[in-house]
Amino acid sequence: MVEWSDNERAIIADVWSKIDVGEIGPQTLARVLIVYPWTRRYFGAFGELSSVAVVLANRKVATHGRVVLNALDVAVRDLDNIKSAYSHLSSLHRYQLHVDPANFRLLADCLTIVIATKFGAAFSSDVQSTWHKFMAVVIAALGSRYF
Amino acid sequence: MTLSSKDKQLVKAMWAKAAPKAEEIGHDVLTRMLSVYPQTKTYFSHWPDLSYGSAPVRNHGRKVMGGVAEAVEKIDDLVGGLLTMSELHAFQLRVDPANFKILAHNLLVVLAKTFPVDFTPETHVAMDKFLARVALALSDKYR
Repeated sequence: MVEWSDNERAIIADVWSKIDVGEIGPQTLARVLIVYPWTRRYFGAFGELSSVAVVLANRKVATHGRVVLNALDVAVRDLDNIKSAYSHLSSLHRYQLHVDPANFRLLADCLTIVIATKFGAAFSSDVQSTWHKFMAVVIAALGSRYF
Repeated sequence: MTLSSKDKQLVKAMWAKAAPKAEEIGHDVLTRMLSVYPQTKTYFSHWPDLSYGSAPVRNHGRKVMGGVAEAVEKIDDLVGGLLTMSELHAFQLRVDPANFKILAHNLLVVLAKTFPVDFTPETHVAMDKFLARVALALSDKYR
């Protein structure tokens, strides 16, 4: 069972409230595809992903970025039950999407970096620590059906 | 993961912007590493004070940034250029190489928050590749 202090709950809610999913989602997924190009293996149906400019302009990437980031809302709203809340998503990633769970950390790292570009100094080390813990729990939950 | 000439150009450009703020950045990177990844504190049990603003943390941030600056200068031959640093980390400091990734991530976060416009996706990938190569060079003498 993960334990969250009141301060951590407040920080997570605050960060989430300031995130515009429509903006951050697309930027995050684009960075994943650019910084870790092997992740393109999962997006054969998205068309052209061969250069930075093309990834940034790709509408399917943008749409999917929003889908992925919207799914974090489930976790934010139910911090005490993330593992069970993501059980279905974990099975989906394992048995249908066949995604290597190493990729969850890559996405989390890119999301953290995009948030840092948006928040600047407001992304203090306390906020980063709490956000990192939250992402670690999300990552573990998404990997929970892999074994 | 070879560094193309474009990557090297982007790394040098980013570093030129970061260099004047090296002290502040180094301090921020170290502070974050110690608080977001508390297992890294195990390497600093000999410091009396690990808090934000403490002298050991500031000094060490400066040292680490100096090391990265040296790596930028020797970007064309990291293994050869960082040989002494590798020996230091291998035989004296004995830092588990997993921690190089952690430090790298925190440096990227601090660059992102300090230079949100300059830290484009292209610069991000170039810096990430560069730091991965630095980590490899630093681990070269480990075994």
